[in-house]
Amino acid sequence: VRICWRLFPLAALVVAGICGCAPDSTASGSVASSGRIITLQEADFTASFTDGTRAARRVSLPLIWDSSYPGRSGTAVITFAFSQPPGSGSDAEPYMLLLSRIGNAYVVTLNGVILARAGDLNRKFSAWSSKRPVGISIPSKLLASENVLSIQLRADSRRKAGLAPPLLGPAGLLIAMRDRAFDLRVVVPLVCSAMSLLVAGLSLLLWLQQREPLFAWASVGEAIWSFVMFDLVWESPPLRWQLWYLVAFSLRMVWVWSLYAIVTHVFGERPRLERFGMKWLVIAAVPVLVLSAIVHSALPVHIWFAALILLFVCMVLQLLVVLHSKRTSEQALLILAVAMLLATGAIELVAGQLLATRYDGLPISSYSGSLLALTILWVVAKRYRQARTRALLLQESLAMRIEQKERELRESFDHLSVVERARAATVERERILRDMHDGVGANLATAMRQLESGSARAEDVAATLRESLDHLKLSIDAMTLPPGDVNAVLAALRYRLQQRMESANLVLLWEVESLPAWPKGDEQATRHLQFMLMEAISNVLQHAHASELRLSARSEGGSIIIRLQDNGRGMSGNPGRRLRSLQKRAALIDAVLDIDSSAAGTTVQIRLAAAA
Amino acid sequence: MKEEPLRVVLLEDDSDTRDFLAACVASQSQLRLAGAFATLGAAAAWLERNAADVLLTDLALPDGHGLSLIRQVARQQPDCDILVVSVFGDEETVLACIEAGAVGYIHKDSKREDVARIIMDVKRGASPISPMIARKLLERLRRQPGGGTVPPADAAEIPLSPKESEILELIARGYSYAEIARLQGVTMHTVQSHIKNLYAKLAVHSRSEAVFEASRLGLLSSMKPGG
Repeated sequence: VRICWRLFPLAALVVAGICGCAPDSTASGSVASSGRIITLQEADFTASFTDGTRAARRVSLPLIWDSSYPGRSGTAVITFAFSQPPGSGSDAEPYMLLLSRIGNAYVVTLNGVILARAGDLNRKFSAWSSKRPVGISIPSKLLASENVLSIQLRADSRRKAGLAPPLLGPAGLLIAMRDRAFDLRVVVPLVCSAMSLLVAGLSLLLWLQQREPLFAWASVGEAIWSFVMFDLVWESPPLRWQLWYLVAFSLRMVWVWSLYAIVTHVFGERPRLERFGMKWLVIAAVPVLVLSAIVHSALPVHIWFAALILLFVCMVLQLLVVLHSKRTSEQALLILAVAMLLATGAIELVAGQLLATRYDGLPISSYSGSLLALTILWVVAKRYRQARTRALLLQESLAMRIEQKERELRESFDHLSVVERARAATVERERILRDMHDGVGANLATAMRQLESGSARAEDVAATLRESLDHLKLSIDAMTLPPGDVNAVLAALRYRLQQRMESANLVLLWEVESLPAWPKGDEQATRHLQFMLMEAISNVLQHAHASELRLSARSEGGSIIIRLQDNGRGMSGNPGRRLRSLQKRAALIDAVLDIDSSAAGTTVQIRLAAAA
Repeated sequence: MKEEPLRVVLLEDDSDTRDFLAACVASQSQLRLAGAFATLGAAAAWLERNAADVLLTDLALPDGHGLSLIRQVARQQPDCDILVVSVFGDEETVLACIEAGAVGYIHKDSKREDVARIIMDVKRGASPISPMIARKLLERLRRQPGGGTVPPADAAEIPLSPKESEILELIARGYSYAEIARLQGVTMHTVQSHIKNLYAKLAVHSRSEAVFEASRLGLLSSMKPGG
């Protein structure tokens, strides 16, 4: 909105230009005088065309060549006769001749003295000289009582040749008018060009960042518009005129398409018929132009242009209906700018081409095209902000989703570790249960049976219970013993069973070397080894009737050999069950079990694989 | 001349075990039951005011853990020998008690005459040490300079003589005091005094460690070096 306000002075200037810079429309008679400024309106005109024909007549300016001599090129001489302006003289202030528009090439002569020239009068289609106002200083002494101003022109067909009525007056008065005309014809287009270039650059940067097609179209359109505005003041383009015109015209077509694309992006998909029409009008533009040149008639171009304007008018009307139901600021501004462009285009067409009343009328449709540039800037800025907001929201929601996923991951990890703990607990529970079943449980059951039988001696029951407690203690030892330390297993076993052996008057001979590590000796294996040793010792205590037990442990050939040797009476009764239990446990820990029993005693040997 | 019987204090929340231990003490004429308590609070209060020669204490008590009482008595009555009453005598617990100032423990399933004997042995200078405890001590020693996988902070501060470590090694391998005495060519009493020394070192070590830790944390602002 602020931009719109800033635009106001510019628009005011343009409007002022349209209304004020029209001296020809207010003049009448051969010499019109407005205060001290003389407008040279009537002139003698002679023309010689390239086809060899000539024409001579009296004309009333402005001269609009393409209206008077459509499709023809040639040179002309326009001669004005006027009396010495009042107040001018050899000692008076300097005078000025202001040609608000003149083209294409010219030579200005006053009383036989050449005052100004531009371009080559003889070279058809050479440099273009009808784009800037021309102010020529006239030395006061050159003005006589009767004067002849002669202007020679080279006029190229369809190149907007012609002459606006010259103004003559004191330089002090005309300089201001010249400056104003210069501002409107040169400064304003340059400013507009720079502005469009800026919008194009900005849009390009945004497009590089967000790849939104709207930004690309805005960039393309505004770059072209910048060129169009610059071309308004560029009098010597680098190409031959026809070629240059073709390039400029083609670019304008691309601009039309980009404008249409922007409208499509702002209002949504356009009706198929309109889209079809627009596409073919744009594509047909250059062929129509070529056709127009071939047939030496502007009619095809005019028809084409009218069709384009009509299509745009239809579009604007349809969009106004859409706008009525719901609107956004960008839509309203865009429609306004397009409508204004159309209106100014129409005015220009009617005033310049059809009525041919103005030659120095301003290119107001070009100016309003720059208003469109500002609108596009607004649209782009708004889109960018929306996209940015969307991106931020997306980022936020992404962050939230990541957080959510992390939380889920954490939860599932927690769940897994709970499951893992539960599994470990289950394994441990199973181990303890098996331990209790084989050790304490079995002993307690035995003690119970002994008590229930009624015939057991108290010390037998006590012995069974004591064994049960020993099992429990060994079980606890197994939890804290370092893995694979057979010395520790043996020492703990002795420590736990010492009392029972002493009670049974069994002398223990202890011959334990420092042993290497037992790699398989985890808690479970340790427990099996404890069971085996305890079983063997219990056997000696309960059945062997031995007085001496020798326990030796040594390392030999990569093995740990534990040997229990008693001097009892050998295995008696039914040792089958106990032996099976020993064998089973030995197999479980990859131990080699050797039992040698005779009347002289029993030897139990356990061979474990030692660490290399 | 007849010696004064040794004053024994009991702290045990299980009445059967307490009665059993009281009976053990009563069975020995050189021992006198000075007090029997079921709660930590009552025992601690009594020991604040009265001296004892032997304290038999359980660990898991209804109003707290026996370790605090062990620390209190070890500090207030250094002449009182503390024995822990335990079912299992598992090494972690026992080691913690020894570090707090206990000299050994009695199994709850010990026979009556054994309880009295252990108490008398302790008063005579013996310290019952299990192979598991010995191994634990050796583990710490093995982490001394050169061996260090673990920061030697605690181990390096228990200086052991070669003799002491040899004895520990044998105990850890399951040898009895008598067998060690024979193997080393010394008397059993020597072995026992070595063990007692070890205990004292361990307790002192753990105490100094606690003091160091406390001063490091700024808990003992009055304890400045040389102050």
